[in-house]
Amino acid sequence: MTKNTSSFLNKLKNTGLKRNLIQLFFLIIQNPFISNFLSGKPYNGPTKTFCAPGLHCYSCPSMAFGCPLGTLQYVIKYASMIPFFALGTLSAAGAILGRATCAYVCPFGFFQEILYSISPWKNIEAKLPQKFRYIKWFNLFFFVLLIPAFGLAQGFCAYVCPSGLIVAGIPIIAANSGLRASIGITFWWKTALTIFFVLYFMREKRAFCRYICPLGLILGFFNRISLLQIKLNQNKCVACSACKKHCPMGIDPVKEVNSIECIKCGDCVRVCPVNKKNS
Amino acid sequence: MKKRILAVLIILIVSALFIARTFTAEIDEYGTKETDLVKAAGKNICMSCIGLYDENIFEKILEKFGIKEKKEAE
Repeated sequence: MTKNTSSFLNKLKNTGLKRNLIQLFFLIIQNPFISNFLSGKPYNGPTKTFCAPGLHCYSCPSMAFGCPLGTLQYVIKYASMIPFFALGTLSAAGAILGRATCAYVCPFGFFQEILYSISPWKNIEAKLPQKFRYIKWFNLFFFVLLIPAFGLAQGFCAYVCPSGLIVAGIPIIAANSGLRASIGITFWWKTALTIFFVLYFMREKRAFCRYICPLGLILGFFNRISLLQIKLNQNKCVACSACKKHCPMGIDPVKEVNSIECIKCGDCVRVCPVNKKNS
Repeated sequence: MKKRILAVLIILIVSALFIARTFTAEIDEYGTKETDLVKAAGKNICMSCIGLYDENIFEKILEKFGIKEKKEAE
């Protein structure tokens, strides 16, 4: 192995670049139809029958797959039935990866990480109180399940999800002048909320995953049993808190590794001084 | 460890059954399958997802539970 290859591999291991490359790979796989942004029409080929496990609006022109959260709400709202397809997809992803899906597959998680990395206002200490994590429980039961169950709307998509506006709403409106007449109060509500989210993502790492995302919560239910697990050796821990400081989810990995909040990104493993010494 | 793998296997089997069901089971008298709904959801521009279609949730709740009609009748 040449010196250059070896230093590149070390860089991959030590900087988290490897995970970023995997995220980029999944982003490209899920969005092969970039040219559709020009026409402002979503791709509607055969792969749209399937859901990708991350949060990415199915109305996005380049998206090859469906969004499991959108599909789940759509089936509940229009057919008043258990959404077997979305549940099957999410439980399969959850059983294999758990919330590592958020860290490696989800395009919206990647988007938040890019925003945070280029942000002039990022603050590694920024963290809302723990109870704010329960917002995603409310989002799951109220917006994803209850509102569609009453046939009212696809609650989360219609009133909360910033992904829909960023990757679908704005590009579609930009390309279709006819649709601009449909802009109303819901659009402006979502725009205001999205601006707030985007600004906050620049301050706190993965804030949407921490506090808002019901999809991450569903995947988190499988976290303790999923095939992919992070192993913690309590005997070797020197309690330096480096992992806690670098955790993108703001948890203490020593206490909460593989918990419902852990996205198994491996940043804790990467910054662990004991692990560095052994490798 | 073995128990965890067994649990994962069971979840994967159930997931496969769930997904297989959506391709085979009909959900209404017209022979619609759940996959048809998934396709319908993904193939069209979702007006509510992108915030174009105005869905006034408060008005909808009033309509749903007949409160609006009662108020109008009064």
